[in-house]
Amino acid sequence: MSKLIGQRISKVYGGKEVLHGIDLELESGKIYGLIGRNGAGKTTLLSILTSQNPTTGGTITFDGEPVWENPKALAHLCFSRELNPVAGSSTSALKIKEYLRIAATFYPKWDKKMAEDLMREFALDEKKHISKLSKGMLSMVTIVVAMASKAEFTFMDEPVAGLDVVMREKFYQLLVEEFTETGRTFVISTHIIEEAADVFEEVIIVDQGKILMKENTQDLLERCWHVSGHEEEVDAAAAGLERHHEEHMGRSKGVMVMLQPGQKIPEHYDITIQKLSLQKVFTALCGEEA
Amino acid sequence: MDLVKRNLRYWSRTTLYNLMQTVLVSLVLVFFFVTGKSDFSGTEGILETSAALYPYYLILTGALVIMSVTTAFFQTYFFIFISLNSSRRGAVLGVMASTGGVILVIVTIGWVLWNLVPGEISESGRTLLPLITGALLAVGAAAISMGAVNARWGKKGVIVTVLLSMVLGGTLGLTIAMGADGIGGLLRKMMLSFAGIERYIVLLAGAVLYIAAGIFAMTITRKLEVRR
Repeated sequence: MSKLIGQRISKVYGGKEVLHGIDLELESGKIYGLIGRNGAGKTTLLSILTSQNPTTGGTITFDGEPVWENPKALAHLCFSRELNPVAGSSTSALKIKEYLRIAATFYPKWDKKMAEDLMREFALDEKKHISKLSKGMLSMVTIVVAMASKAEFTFMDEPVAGLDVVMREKFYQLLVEEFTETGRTFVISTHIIEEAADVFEEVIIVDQGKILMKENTQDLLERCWHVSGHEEEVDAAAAGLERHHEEHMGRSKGVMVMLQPGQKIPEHYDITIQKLSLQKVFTALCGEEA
Repeated sequence: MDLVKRNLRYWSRTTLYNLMQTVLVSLVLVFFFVTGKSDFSGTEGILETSAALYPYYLILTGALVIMSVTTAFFQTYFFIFISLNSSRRGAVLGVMASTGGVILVIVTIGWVLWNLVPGEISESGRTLLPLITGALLAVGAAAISMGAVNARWGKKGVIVTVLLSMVLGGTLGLTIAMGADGIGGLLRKMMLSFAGIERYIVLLAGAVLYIAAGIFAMTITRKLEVRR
């Protein structure tokens, strides 16, 4: 089983540390969801894991081999990053055809037929300049590259940004089909958490340059509950439990509790206990300073 | 197949494209030169003169293509290559191989034509060929260095390279203008100055500059970040 391991990854931009000693281990055969607020460091982390940007400190290895500038390790990785259509950016002057031709050159397992099929399915015109594409079309091109690269570890940054709901559904279906068929590892960074939650086997939450949590999505959802009711009852029920994101409405109160193994919420209080969605859990964990 | 080989595969295609551009533009230039010149009463006829002159146009066009394409590569393609899994070193080696390939083909065409066609123009071409090769390698070295500086330092790098180009271009233009006999006069003067071993020293200097530029480009881009 292949592993991509990052140890004590740090990154400093203009004197400001944006990643703080991150340790992360990614195993093959999983779909990971990478979620975090804007500026949390998701894209920087993905860029560093795939040697697109250097670290300030720490190491990244693929099956024990350093990833940085190492063709042998890079052959297993693909980070299909967001395309920038703004004039003057590196990709804007290119046609889709040329972009895909470069991708086909550098990804050793490039699936030309898959790329052609997806281009047809997404109704993309390969002669179009990247600068002329809509936000949704730009996302489609990144999806084509990610899927057709056939890289063992594939990273996607906001792949559904700008896609309409039909195309988003199509993407998730494609992702699951490809995963089932090949067992490739996917790391998907997204802000549209609710839709994607079902396909994430594990969720990695990044907050302010740190990994806040890396856990099986189902396990996480089974230990996070929303407790609400009269303030005193809620406080008594949640005493001794890990609490996040307290909300007050008059004398009522709501709080997310995160249970540790062996913990339970006492049932004899006059409180309401509800399951939480991944988005709500994320908001509770990362939205406190908002 | 490792990334360096894949780089080369991509670049061989790009090299061919750049060569086609160079050959076509130079053919147009020589056509205009020949059609604009009515007096071919010398010992060589119109065909011989055109064939003997063609490599000079090819060399001039080649130098311009090398300069523009190589610097543009660092500005645009370099980041795309890295974002699509090329190593930085592999990308620099690719552009070096491609530029070197263009120079090699240009020089080979010159050598073949100047050996096939008799006359004074061809003779000067044959004499100056090592010098021309050295000069083209120096142009390639300048293009690689300036491109890498642009990629590494962005707008500041562009300003530096534009200023440098202005100084170099101005100096060259002034030299030609001061010669009063135009490029032809300059070539004749160069033939007299570089008839001996000096030609090969220039060739060697060009080759050394080219390799040094490659090492310089690899060094300053070794930690280059992919920008959006």
